[in-house]
Amino acid sequence: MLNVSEEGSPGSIDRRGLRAAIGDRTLLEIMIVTTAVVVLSAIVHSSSSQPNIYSDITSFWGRREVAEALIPYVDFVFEYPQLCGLITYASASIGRTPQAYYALMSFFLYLFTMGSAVLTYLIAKRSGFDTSRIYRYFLLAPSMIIYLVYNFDIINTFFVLLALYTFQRGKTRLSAASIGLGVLSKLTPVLLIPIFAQKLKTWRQQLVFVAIAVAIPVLANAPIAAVSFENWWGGYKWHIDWGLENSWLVFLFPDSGSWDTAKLLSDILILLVVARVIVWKNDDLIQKSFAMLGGFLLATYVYTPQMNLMLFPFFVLSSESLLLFYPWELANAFIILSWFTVPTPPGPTAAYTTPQWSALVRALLLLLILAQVTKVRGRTLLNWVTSKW
Amino acid sequence: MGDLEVVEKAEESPVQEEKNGGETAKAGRQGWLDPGVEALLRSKLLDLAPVILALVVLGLKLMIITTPGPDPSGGKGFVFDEAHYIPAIRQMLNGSAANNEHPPLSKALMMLGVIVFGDNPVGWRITIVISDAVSVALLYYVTLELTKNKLLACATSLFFATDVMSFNIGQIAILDAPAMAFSLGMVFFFLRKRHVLGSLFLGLAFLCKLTSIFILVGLLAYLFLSKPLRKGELTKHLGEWIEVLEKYFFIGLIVSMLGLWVYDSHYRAFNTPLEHLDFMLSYHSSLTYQNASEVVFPLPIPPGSLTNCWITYFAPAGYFVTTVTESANGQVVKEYHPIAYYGIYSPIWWTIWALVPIGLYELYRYFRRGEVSKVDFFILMWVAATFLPNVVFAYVMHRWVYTFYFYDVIPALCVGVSYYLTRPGVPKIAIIIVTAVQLFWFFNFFPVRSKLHTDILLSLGLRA
Repeated sequence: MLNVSEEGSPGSIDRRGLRAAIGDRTLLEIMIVTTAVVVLSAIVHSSSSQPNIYSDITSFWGRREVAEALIPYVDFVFEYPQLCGLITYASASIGRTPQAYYALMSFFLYLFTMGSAVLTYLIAKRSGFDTSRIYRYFLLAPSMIIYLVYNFDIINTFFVLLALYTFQRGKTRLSAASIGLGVLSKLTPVLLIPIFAQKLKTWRQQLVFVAIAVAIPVLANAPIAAVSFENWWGGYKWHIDWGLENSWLVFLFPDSGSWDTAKLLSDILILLVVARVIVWKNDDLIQKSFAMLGGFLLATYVYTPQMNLMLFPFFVLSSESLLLFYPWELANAFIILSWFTVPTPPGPTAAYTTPQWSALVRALLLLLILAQVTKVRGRTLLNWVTSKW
Repeated sequence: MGDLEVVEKAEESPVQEEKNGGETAKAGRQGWLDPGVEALLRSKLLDLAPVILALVVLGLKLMIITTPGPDPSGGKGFVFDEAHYIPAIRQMLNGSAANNEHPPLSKALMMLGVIVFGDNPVGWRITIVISDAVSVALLYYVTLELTKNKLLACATSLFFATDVMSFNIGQIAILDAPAMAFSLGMVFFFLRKRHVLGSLFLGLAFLCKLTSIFILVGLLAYLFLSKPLRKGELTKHLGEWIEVLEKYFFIGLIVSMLGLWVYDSHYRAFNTPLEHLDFMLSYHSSLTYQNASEVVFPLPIPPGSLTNCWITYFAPAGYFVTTVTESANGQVVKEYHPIAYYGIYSPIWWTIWALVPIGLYELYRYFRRGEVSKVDFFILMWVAATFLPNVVFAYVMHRWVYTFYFYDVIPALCVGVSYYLTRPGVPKIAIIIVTAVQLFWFFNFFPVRSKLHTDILLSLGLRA
């Protein structure tokens, strides 16, 4: 259970805990494994490796604006949030060569991965979960190799974990700031704002929490929008215009001409997920966050495989034996492994192609996992249908 | 949609006199029964009222169901959008997909009529006419469920039955009447908290007409407002509300998509029902007007005006009008319209000007003091959910809107008028007057007129 702590002095984030953690042998092992995982992921995605696995990060260098270290959102459209743009810009402008750029990018991602691993460990330990699950459900997951030095998702994972950890320690304003920073790496933490705010006792606390979480991304976006509205808006528009990707919806909407309705359906489903999780009678913020982000992945029309990273810590922070984790992960890994085997047309995002079959299996498995986590059983569903005929 | 077929005929016919069949009005006598027995009889009569009303409506409709029909001179006898739907069902009966821009259930019902009664006016219209009669009865039960007042329910049903637009829309082979019947079924089960059944009806209504979903939106808003907002109970209330919403969304979606799937797989129209849904939504989004002066707007604000607006005044749209001119010695003696299907309002429509402010005031009291006024909210939310989308369509999306879209709003207004006129303190004469006006209006615009009917109208100096 994750609750706002009554203990802890203002301004400190569990310094004693951190000091103790530094001397913790288990944590040291986790840090070593984390380092090994990031290095392995960096190797398999590096363009110097032959063969190598595709990575968005290496492909960015192929963009002239990135290679020339132009400023994202100002000089060109960049379809990722500002923190991602900042890291990309820093890596490109400091690195100047593709190898150095890639090394720097990998290094930044390494920091966030390490932070995520440590925070997961600290939360697990504090909440009484088995810390060895970090290996099974996080560090040794296939996606940690295939989708880590691949995109920016681990940054988002880090900030969500930081938000949970600080919230657990009673530092709710810091927690709200972490969510705000998380939004600057991926928009999904926005979904967590209501369930975090729900845990606070007074309207005032809730208001402050929401204000901080919202203000950070607004303040980061506003000057950029003021300087170069077109390029700033272009990044968001890029997402609005993007079609279905690795979503089960593609089997219901095989014709890309019908995807506007698919997106509408997806939006409705996301709203239902958000509403359902908000009213879910469960005080456990970790479970609620798991349900919220997992439900979002099921409902969204873009479920890129690297998004799995956002859920890993929640598998760790659970008392359930989630046996479907590996089939779910393998299906996820198979998406990119089969991606470039599909000729265009129809292309890998088309229905009935191997990547999309993998995505469908992955969605079904995630559905079952979420049913297990939220304790929804067949009987629950039957009751849902038959109650108040 | 919205194409007008106006058939004008000039016929000369000899003046004929018809005599009333000598019916003797039986004046009711009061006081000859024991008061208890009288109350029981009255109650039983009110119990039977929805059936009686539905049968009367059905009888009236069956009397005129063959008019208009094909004529030897080549007239097809289609009223209004029948010109779209009857050729479509003929095509569907021949095994081809047709009119894919609308969901298929209403057309399937029309096809059933044609299969049973043949390709003639009875076949085209019989299931529509039955749907409308069912709606009249269902509205009684909906109102009864809401107010527990049989007299009020009776009045509501009568107002709906005699609304000219509702009557005409429920007489001709277009999509709306079955959609309304299924929607009212949904409303009934919704009010009874039988949400699975309600959502099945939603699915069927959606399979008749996409806009049926608006009524559900109104119901959900009503449900949310049906409990006072109390601190600490909001999440619980929201949870119950979301459960209901989920039922209607998922079960309604499954039912409607199954229906579309049957259609699509039979006619090989679309790969999946959801693609069909996308096609329908895209099609309807594309129906935009270029010239605002050609549109009758929902509100009397520019580019609409007081004399070209749904809820003030608009020129009656002739869905099918025939003109007979009688002349003697080369002089026109009289001119009348034995068939006059008009798209026109009835006085009930204007009550929106009173009902909405009352509802808004009650809403203010709800948020201010937590006072719940269920009937007011029901009326307000229904009106808002069915009327406001048309405002958005017309003014924001510049999409064509037609006066008969108001059909979905009418049941709520009927509930509202009868509710307020039967409240304690309101003189009974008020509801009698309103009913009389409504009936007279109905008589005036009844679409198929006998000679006697015409003569009465002419003798009253009205346009017959």
